[in-house]
Amino acid sequence: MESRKDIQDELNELSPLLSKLEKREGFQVPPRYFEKLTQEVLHNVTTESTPIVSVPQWQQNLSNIWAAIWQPKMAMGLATIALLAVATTFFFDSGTTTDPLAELSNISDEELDFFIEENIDEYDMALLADIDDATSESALSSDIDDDILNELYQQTIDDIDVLELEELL
Amino acid sequence: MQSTANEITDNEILSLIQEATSLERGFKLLMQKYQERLYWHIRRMVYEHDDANDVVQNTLIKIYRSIQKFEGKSKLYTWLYRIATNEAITFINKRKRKATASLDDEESGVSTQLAADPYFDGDQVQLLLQKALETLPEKQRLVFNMRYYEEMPYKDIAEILETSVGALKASYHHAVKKIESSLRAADNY
Repeated sequence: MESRKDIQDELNELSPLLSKLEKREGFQVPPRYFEKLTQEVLHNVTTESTPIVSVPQWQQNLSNIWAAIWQPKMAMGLATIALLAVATTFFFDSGTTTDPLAELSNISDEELDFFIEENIDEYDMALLADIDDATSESALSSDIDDDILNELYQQTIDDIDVLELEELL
Repeated sequence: MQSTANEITDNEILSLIQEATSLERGFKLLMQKYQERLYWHIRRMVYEHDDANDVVQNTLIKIYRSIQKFEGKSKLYTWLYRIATNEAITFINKRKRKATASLDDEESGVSTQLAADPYFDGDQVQLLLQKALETLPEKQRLVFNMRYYEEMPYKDIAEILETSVGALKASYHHAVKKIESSLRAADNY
């Protein structure tokens, strides 16, 4: 065990200049500082000590795991896994979704009529005309009897007023 | 009759601390026995009283929280010093980061602060010595303080800094030589 003399001899050998200096540092503390320090620290530790000592090990482990989850690397990993899980679920689910046309076939004619009656005013007349044209073309291309068509033309002509025809000409 | 802090042994303090009923009394005795040494150890590292006060309070609170885990593998006082040293280094590093962020010159600030510190009444030689100490790397400064001011055996310093006695001897020798050169360069010697 080194004595104070050993330490002083070593310094004297290394630096006679330093060994001759008075080992006074010039640092001071406020009056009665150390008494107050004891009281202050004791007050701090006794007011907060109970929960620190009484935390069970399993709670500490749980809180460690929770803290680890929120570390950036772990959080990023978990977020990626969650994102992949959601994307996978969505991907597989999209294959089994019901066909909207099949859904429409379940609606009765009465319900459709009622819906159209209720909402007919909301549709743009131009849009309706387009739909009408499209359906007319497809209807003409289908197997409609010529007699029925002729009868339809005749009825349409009869419905148009002669005066209107003159205006059109 | 109750023993005073300086008469009581470390083992007696530790026995008191192990019992919940005497924990507070044991810790009070521990503080009365060691707080002053810990304070000066920290003060030599951080320089200013207010900073040393913050660091020593944090150190003592950490000691209180972990004293029941002390296994007695090292001396009690070297274990306490290790906690104080770590706290002081953490504080110094934070201060350096703050100084870097605000573009302050931390190194030149310390000696200026000391000269203006109401709790520093050192003469010209002590101020020169502190300036010379500022220029040392942190570890050399720690070793110098513990060996020169506290006259600690190398074995104990090795326990505190968790390093070898050989490395410590080399650090101390370097530190002493550098400080001597700084003092001579200041033309006072």
